[in-house]
Amino acid sequence: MTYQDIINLGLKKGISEIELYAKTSTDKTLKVFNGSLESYNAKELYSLSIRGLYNGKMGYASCESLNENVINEALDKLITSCGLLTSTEVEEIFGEKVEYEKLEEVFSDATLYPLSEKIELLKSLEQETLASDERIKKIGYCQYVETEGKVEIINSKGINLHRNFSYIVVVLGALGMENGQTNVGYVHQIETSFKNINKEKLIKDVVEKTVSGLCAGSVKTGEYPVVLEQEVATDLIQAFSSLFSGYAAMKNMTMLNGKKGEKVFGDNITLIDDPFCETSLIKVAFDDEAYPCKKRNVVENGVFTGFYHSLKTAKFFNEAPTGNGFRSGNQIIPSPTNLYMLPGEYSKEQLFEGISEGVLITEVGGLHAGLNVVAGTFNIQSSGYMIRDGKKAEPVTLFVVSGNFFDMLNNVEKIGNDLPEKINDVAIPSLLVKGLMISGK
Amino acid sequence: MKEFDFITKNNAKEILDIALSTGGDFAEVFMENGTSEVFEMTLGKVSQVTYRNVSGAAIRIIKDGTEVNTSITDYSLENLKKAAKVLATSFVGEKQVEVCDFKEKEVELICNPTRVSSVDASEEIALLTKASNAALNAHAEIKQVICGLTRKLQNIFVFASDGTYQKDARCNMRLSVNCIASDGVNMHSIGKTSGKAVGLEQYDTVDVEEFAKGVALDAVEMLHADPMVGGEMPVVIHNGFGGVILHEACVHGLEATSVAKGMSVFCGKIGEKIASDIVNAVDDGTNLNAWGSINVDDEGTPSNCNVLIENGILKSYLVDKRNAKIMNHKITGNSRRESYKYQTTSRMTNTYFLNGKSTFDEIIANTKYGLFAKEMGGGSVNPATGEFNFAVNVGYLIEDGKITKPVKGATLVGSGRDVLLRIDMIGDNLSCGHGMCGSMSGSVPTNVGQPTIRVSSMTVGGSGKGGNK
Repeated sequence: MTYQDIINLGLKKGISEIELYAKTSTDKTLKVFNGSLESYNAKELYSLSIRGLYNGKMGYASCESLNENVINEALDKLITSCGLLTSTEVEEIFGEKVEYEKLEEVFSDATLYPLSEKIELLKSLEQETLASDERIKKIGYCQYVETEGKVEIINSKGINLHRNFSYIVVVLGALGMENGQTNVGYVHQIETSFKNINKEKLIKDVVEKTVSGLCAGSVKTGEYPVVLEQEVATDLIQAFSSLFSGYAAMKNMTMLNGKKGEKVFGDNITLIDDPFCETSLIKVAFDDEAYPCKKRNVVENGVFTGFYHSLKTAKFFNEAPTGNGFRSGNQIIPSPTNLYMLPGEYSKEQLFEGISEGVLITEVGGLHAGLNVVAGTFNIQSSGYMIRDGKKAEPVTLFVVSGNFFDMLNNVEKIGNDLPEKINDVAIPSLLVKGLMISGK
Repeated sequence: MKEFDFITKNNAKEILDIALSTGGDFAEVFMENGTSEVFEMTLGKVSQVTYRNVSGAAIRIIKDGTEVNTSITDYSLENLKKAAKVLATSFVGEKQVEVCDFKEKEVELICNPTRVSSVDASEEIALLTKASNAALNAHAEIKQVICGLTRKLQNIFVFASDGTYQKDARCNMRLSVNCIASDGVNMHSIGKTSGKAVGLEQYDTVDVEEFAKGVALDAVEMLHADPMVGGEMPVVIHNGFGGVILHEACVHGLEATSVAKGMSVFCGKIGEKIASDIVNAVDDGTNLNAWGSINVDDEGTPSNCNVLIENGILKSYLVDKRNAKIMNHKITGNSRRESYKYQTTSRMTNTYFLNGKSTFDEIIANTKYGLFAKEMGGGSVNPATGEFNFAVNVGYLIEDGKITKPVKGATLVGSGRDVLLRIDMIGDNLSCGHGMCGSMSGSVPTNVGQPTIRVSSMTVGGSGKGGNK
């Protein structure tokens, strides 16, 4: 069936407004282990998400085929689901004629290079990493992925839009061993150009991450000044980013409810959501509801300026949509595009200055488990280094860092200047936090 | 299973012949067709009902240890042949292996759903209403209740060059209750799930109201609890979802995905002592209708009860067909994938410690000071280092052999090698919790379980300051 056929069929079945969201993607993944190709995986995937208004309720269904029987059943299920809904939130389908930001389409050049060249890259990454330090014993993860695809949004109100996505990801993970202790380090690079894969940097970074964490000791339980390294700060703030979502607000699942316009964090905290971010590989002119995206400070000098909204959550709060209505499975959940924190002026070394005893956290694990997002609290497995007399000192591992998201962002003493060159999804510079609880020995 | 009838044995052989034409040692086709539905209720109102139809196929060829795989959404006969042909070009060579005669195994039905759905979804909605009302009415400080019911129906058909020819119909249904308690200043959320590999009939024997009320009261209790003060101490981990300790601290490190590559702390330890003498553990995919049970795995191997640890000695890894060759280990019936979009590999089913000899009361009475982890949340592990973490959703202090005050926000961290050796008491009250495990081949339903156990010493994290006493 064509998309127009599906829309017509839906309208015929009594759906008053209907929208199709189609995603087509091709994925190629190569993995090398012990000098040979471990696996090659080529995926050609398709999904069609349909939503429509029936008796004033919005129903959602999806499928992976344009087969008439499958589409028929999906539309019937959508209609049935509308009859079951009893919540009163109003949903709509967007159909206004608006000007969207003109963005240049980004295409990766991955397909211009043969697979053999990519396998060779992985083999040399593995071999050279192993050769670069005798403490590196295995390369457990040496993976190349190229993805390209297209998103199309077509609805019965005249919207017909598409955007492409296209990128390369290389992941390298090494196992180090020394005196019976093991440590694992992972690094990755996201690119659009195959030639920009920086082999030397990947190797240098993975060796540094793996080896420097070896022979780690433990930390004495207590409250310390803590430096969250850039990637850790990013992971942590990303894990809490749903607190800024209109969905969480609508469901009464965020402590930011009713705090629009209030100062919630320290003066030095500015968080920007930038869908057009120059350095990002993923730029979007419209969200998954076809609403135009815009750049916005979500937090400005500590003041919360308002939730990310979809059409539904905006209507619920009687506010304007923000162009953050993105698909999460079969739902639309307001979420950020490229969220980053305005960087500070401090180098890594300057962040350590003046700390007589503190902790630098370079890895965290179990973010899905150790967080109570609603409560704003975190208790997370960590590893890193002690900071002594203003300098990075011995490695430490298997401790828990604990705190409260709101307290933490009110106690940032210094912000690093190390915002990554490329911002994808969420990027936060390194942060020095005045005091966080560390549990260890 | 009518949807796969268009593939005859001759067609199946033809596709596999194409796949093997360039010298592959093994070829396999996995087809799936099913639906996944979510019913959600927020504050007593039906807030979401979604439907997803999932259908597609994966073809893989293995040659000399290299696996090539393709996942496609259009699994018409013509397209399967085309995909097999393209995939075969990954290798260069002549045909080496013939397709064995197909043998469909007689498999004992472990999961046998009888009531997957009600005609007009009335039973599903009634179940949510019952849970939701019980949670909402449990306490005045309960400000939000979101209940969900997920149902995944999956028909699979797998055939392979080793003669495998197996079909299966699966149903997994799980109820979730999430409650938020608030006193106007602070908020705290707790969630819990109850599921089986069957349909609505499972809730005939579950007191859904009691279950939902329990979640709500836990949220209120934790809202007012003091934050845990961290440090090293004995930890008593309760039965049920407490078994996440075995799942994270040990069994992820027994999956062939880590072991075959030498990326697990448990490599080369078969026959060696890895846990204290009182520890016995299994991964058992054959528990009747259990959440993590499967009739056959995604390679068509019937599921099994695999003894992993016997009296502290490591007995087995969890191994799929491909890794069985690499590791020279028996196939254990644990190859699983979320869908055709993932490459199948060794995963857990229902993993638990067996009962010990102590009673719950004895364990508490014998603990001078420590943490009682009554309800556990999720966790994670790095199998290569064995370092793991998991969250305690509902915790209490144990002082002088008695459970005293509630504490919130405890996280347990440790190393799998140490923690299993430090289990010094095991209760006689085995039960299981129902989780989703995410790993290389996607998210699959797994039971985690255990009787109440005591670990003599663990690192406990928490934001509390000063002393717990």
